[in-house]
Amino acid sequence: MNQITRISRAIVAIMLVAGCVTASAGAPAELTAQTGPQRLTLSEAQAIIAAAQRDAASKNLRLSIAVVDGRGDLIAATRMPDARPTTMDTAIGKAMGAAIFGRPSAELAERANSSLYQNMNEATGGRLRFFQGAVPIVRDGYTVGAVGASGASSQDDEDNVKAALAQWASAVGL
Amino acid sequence: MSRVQRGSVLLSGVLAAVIFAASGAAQQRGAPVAPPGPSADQAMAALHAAQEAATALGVSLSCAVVDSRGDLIALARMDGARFFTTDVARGKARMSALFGRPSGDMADFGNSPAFQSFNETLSGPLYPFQGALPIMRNGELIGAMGCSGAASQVDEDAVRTALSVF
Repeated sequence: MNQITRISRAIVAIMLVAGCVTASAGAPAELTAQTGPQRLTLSEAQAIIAAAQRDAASKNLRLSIAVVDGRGDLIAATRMPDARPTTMDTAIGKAMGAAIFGRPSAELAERANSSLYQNMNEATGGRLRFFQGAVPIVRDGYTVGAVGASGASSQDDEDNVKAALAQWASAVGL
Repeated sequence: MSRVQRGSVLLSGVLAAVIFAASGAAQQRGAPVAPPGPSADQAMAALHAAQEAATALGVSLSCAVVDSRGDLIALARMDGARFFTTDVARGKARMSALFGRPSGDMADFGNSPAFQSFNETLSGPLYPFQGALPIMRNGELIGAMGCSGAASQVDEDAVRTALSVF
């Protein structure tokens, strides 16, 4: 076999391989709700909310509690009996902020008027609430979501979600 | 009764009133007299039923239960449901609760020029699409439930199944 034939065969082989790779890469990806390690499931979100409800009931607090995913998108929320109706959006807004910034919402309150935070809030359609009462949910070093509460004093709200997370984490062995 | 005695009685009365009022002020803020709606437990039961219906239909949905004013009572997004389905479920439910009709019947209103300002003034987007049904109790409208994430008929079917808990 002469040099030219060898080279042409190599070129053809490379093109064939490249074509196969391109063809498989072109296959449509499955729509997934979220990527990343250990994403929070609905079941887990509801367990966290149930823990928060028990804690709130034990203190005679009437709260709304919300859990969002790592992107800040809502997974589950519950308004306890006789909680003020507007507390639902506040709980959701606190949780979104905590998840998006990966910090307790109390820390966001100090910088709420900064242009960064205002722009971020606009990007969410004005849903963020920069008040104490939500904390991120961290697993394996990743922020997989956040839990927020509203309906009592902001300190009570924050204590509630921290207690709920602690109870859930110990129940699942985190 | 002498003047001094009357004064003492009056003073005791005033003190008692002040103490009574002070202890009242230390109580928790009163519970709101909110518009009628399903209880939180009922809402959770409905969400659970919708989730089972969705699983049986092979779909992942977000479902929302709202009270008669359209305010959210409970919401659940199944694993695999896209993030925006929460908004759509809420918006369909609110649509249904505000008018007491299936959200799918509201398409004409959605096309009317009035809809835009209606949508803007009420917090949260409204979605006049099929997938939410009103919740009735003893003939009274108490709220609605909406689902989103599949074909709109499938969404509505999941809601219809779930509403059997009421």
